Amino acid sequence: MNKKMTILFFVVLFLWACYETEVSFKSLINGFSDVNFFISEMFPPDFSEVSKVFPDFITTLKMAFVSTFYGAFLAYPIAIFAANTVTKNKFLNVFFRFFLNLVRTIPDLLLAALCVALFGANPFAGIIALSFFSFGIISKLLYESLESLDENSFDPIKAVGGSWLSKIKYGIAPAVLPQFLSYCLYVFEINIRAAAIIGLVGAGGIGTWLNINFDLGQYNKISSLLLTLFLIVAIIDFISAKIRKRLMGS
Amino acid sequence: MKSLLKIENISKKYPNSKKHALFNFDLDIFPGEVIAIVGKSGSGKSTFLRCLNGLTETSNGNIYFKQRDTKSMSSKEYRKYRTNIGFIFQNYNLQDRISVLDNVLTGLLGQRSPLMTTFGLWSKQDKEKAKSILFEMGLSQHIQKRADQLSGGEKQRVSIARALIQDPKIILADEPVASLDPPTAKKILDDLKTKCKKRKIAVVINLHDIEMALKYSDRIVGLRNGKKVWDSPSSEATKESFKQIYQKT
Repeated sequence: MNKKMTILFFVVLFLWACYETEVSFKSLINGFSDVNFFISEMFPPDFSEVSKVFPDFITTLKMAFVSTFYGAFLAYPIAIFAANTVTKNKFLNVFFRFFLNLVRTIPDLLLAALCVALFGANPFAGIIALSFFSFGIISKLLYESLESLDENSFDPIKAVGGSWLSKIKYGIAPAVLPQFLSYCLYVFEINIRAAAIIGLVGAGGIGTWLNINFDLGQYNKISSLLLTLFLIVAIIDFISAKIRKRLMGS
Repeated sequence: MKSLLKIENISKKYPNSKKHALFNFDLDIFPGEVIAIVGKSGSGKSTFLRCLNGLTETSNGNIYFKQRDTKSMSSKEYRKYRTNIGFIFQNYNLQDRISVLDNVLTGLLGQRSPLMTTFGLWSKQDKEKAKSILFEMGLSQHIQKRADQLSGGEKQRVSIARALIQDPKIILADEPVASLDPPTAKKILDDLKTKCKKRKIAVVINLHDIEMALKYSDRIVGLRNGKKVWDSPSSEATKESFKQIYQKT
């Protein structure tokens, strides 16, 4: 009985949400005719400008790399304060966890738009926005890893009269290092895609070209950019997955 | 002779537990002696050792180190007190991902500036001392290896080295050979005893093996249900005494 009620509840919720958001098959099918148009415009891709904008691909990669680094650098101490296995202070734990939730609530595109307004339409704005974004993810994942550490593993440090800093350096850092690096690589992968997207709001990198070509209706150029980006992301994902597997395995 | 560590009426009751893990326990530990704590599993042996250096807080009672009540110590003084006590864990509790040398150096964390050690800055003397102890423990070929590359017996030797580098007055060893095969266990206990006798370090060692307890200790203390039921020189312990310690309740 309970199970049936649960299923019914979700069916009703789904239908209500569809109705409220005006989801209908009709509009989906109507949209498809436009898809035909886009696809025919996109193919064959025009690679003539890819070499010209290649430096901007590199900029996108640089943005992703630098912001992952900043994010990770900030996330490490904050995660330490948020985790009650490491910092035995309820007030600090709650305060920093609240702060982390707050940071993660802000959508990345909104953050990017805000940074562009503050710092101008350039890669720096994008880097600041992505750093916050990276910080949000890494600190959350790292803090969860820290919480799951076995507290008995700090006993040797405590037993010899070691300080809080010693506990972090010799008890915690080596124990969570593989996870931490793995999270950084994962966020770097996400950041490459995100760096391309936030370029749409003017935050530099390849996204700027996507935006320009979109406005000009040059869809065959957009497809060439997307295919190149896809190739770059695929290569980096492949390498990063290999490294992460080794980190977690050892 | 004055006792090094005087344990007076300590009790421990864990939250959510009806029974005392340790009840009104008294003991005097003198410099250089080897005490074996024996008893069934769950008799309170581990709790007792962990109470001595504050890894577990006592519920009642006092512990005096060189006539000074450890309860009256500030947290800084207590950390200083801990530097006098080496601890050897059953599961070695080494940091797997750092080198053997660094693992031994962690024994000095309470005695060196936290800022320096946090950046991995150890003095040349400290490193030399660690190397010479590792040499003494027969581990000189493993110094730069990562701790997780060692065998169980080698790991326990590293953790003995980590305790020795502290220049402790006492070493507490919680079932140090329970995870090892008998020949390795024997070698480790031989080593632990000779190195500590040489340095006049008192050793309190939890053992469940009666033969080993008799062979390696000067004194036997029996625990049953958290209470001390036996305390005598090892030479005076007989089969009867062990029956009393291990008898069913």
